[in-house]
Amino acid sequence: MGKINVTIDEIKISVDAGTTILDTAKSVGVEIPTLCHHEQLKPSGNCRICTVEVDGSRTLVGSCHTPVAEGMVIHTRSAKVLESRQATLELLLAGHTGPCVLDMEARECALHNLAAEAEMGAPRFQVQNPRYYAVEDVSPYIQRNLSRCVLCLKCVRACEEIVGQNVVSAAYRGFGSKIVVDADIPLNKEICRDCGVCIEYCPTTALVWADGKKKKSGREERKIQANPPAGKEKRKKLLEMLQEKQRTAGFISETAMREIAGAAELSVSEVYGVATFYGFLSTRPQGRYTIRICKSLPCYLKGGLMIAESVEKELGVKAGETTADGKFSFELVNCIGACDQAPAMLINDRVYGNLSPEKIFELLQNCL
Amino acid sequence: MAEKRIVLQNCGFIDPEDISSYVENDGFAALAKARKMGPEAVIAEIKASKLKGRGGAGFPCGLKWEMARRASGDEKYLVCNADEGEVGAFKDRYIIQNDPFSLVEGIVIASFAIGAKKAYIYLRAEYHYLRDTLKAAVQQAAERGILQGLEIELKEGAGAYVCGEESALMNSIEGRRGEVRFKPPFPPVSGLFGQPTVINNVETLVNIPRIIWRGAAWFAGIGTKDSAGTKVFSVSGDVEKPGVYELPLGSKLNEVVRELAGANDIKLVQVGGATGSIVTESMLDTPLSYETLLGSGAIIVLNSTRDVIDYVYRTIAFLNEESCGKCTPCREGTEVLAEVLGRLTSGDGFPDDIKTLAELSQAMNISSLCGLGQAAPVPVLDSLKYFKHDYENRIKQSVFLRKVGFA
Ligand SMILES: Cc1cc2nc3c(=O)[nH]c(=O)nc-3n(C[C@H](O)[C@H](O)[C@H](O)COP(=O)(O)O)c2cc1C
Ligand code: SF4
Ligand code: FES
Repeated sequence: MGKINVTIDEIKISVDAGTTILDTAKSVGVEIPTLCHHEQLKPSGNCRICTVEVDGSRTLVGSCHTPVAEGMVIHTRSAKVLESRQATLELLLAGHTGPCVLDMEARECALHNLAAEAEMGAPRFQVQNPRYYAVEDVSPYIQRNLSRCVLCLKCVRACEEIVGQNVVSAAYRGFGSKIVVDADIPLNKEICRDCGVCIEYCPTTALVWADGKKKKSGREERKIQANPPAGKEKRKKLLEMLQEKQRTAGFISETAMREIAGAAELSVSEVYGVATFYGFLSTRPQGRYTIRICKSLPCYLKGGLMIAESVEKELGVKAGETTADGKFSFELVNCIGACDQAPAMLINDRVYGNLSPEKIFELLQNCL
Repeated sequence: MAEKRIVLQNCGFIDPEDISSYVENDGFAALAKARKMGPEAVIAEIKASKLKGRGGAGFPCGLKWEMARRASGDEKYLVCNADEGEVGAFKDRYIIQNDPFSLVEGIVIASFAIGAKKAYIYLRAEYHYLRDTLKAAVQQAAERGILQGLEIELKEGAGAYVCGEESALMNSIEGRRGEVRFKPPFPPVSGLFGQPTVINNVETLVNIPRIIWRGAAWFAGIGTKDSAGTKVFSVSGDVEKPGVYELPLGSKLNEVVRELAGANDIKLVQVGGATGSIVTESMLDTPLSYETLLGSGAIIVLNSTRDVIDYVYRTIAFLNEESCGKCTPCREGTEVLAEVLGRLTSGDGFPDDIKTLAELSQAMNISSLCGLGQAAPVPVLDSLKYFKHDYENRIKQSVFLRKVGFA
């Protein structure tokens, strides 16, 4: 393997090809803070705390997952780096609940410590509804307090990569993302016992021992013993199986998810994670006709919201609801690619464009 | 300048349900030529044509193919990106509806060039109604022996804009959550199932048979120095004639929105969908090209009655809903942006809001993991640049209303 020459904070160094920027920095004594990274886990690159500036790159790059390249000039403490890291930390602090400052336990939280190191005050950014989840203390072994979770995915990766289980998965999407077990139920001892790997890897106090033990159990370092991940062919079918269920049953019930998990040799949480990611998959029963009115800009400019109101009036349900007779579901959706016929909507798989309240009335009468 | 139909040359002239009408119009002649040329020569031709990706990022197509051809792997894949989720984009839909065979031909040539035995078409769920057209086109091509061992599989999305981003798209094909992956490794080196993969937009692929048939020099002669060929634009919003228009790259925005689409009252135009840049009325003679502005070619016109802040809010609300949620700046940042803009829209602004929007935008722009979070702040920053008054006035109004006890 060849050697790669790079400059990191003015220090010139030559390292093996394939070495990450983070490890290169470490080898010359330059510390880059991380949050989602762990030497024993595959990099994920999700937290963006470790980003650094590389000459010639418009954006910052994640140091935990980017290998060095010949001639790279890296800056780990430039103004851009520090400002964006500060913003990222503030976002993480603003997004979750928990009185960190008053909380003695908070010292066990890596986010709290990173913020303290950066000498940060209250975050500039505010989230109106920070995530709040009730504390889960059903399990005699593990207590989960997801209000403190920073979505670093270490628990998900540790469970998969270290113990070869897939008990925990990410579910939902965007700001609503959440770490779930099974079909998003409180963690209990039937789903997960007491191996505690997730506790050891969790950088926050979202996961702790139920008996109040310290995080680190003092056990020897974990050995990686992952089973091979589910076969590519089976996994590949997962989305199709969910789509098929959606088409035939109108929604994906918990029972259906369990069946699919069995058939695809995946955990229920993995299936649940995929099912809740996609907008056209539904975990609640849908009507025979699903009406999807586009609310995106081109349709909005042409009175899309008026169309939505007339559907509401006609059906007597609000967006996101299904009529009592189970006939119609009504949703407001993002751009459906019919902007040349705005305002437009989909009823099941068909597009209807150039809508007006009169036309809505007519169309719904035809369905009735 | 008038329209110049290269990509759309067959639209309206062939029967999209019947392959023989395509064959009669020189269909698959380029493929036959490509097979005679051999993969290396095909790649050289595409490189010489200077074709760049039409999906938004504008990466040189030939270079991408060459990387994939040279990369070692057990198998190689070609993926046609028909996810078209960008707000205001519908050109790929138009192409598939009117000329699915050119797309199939482009897919076969591309697969031949990179050495793929398997190709995927990733079609967004909203376009489920195009499934039969596409399937029939592939089926008819197979029956005529055109595929020569290439398997083309149609994969449907399930409602997620971010799955148009190439790494999220690959995760989705693999049956996973449509979360993005960090790069490198880039898909031509390690993509779908860890194998070398080329992902190309529908329009990019439809350009391929045209280039092979008429030659790289002809293609490179259209457009500008760094933007060869034409671009298909989807125009919507406050215009008389919304629709799809194909023009040589380098054409002026004015020609598309005023002369062709018939806009007569323009406050601003957003070019490139939700993450696109804002162009004001005084800048309408800006040429549309990779050097200036382009994106996916979605053009939305807003007239003088429109409220800029309301528009930016809706755009950010879209991106907030569609963020995959994997990386911090995008997941949390779009939430904060949407909240500040939502307050401003409803007249509940604070003096610090402009600063918050600007600083957060800056950070998201450089630290997000993928193009969604990186480009989400573009409409915010652009509107702050051109319509700062609107923000300042809204904040003054808000402060005043609160003082007199109305809010
Ligand atoms: C959030 C996001 C959404 C995207 N959506 C699409 C899309 O719907 N269609 C598309 O072709 N490219 C889309 N892209 C660009 C793709 O990642 C990729 O660059 C493109 O498909 C490559 O094809 P091309 O080189 O032929 O343009 C998107 C990118 C991002 C960041
Ligand atoms: S529970 Fe802990 S390890 Fe798991 S994602 Fe949240 S912060 Fe990370
Ligand atoms: S530590 Fe690198 S992105 Fe989280």
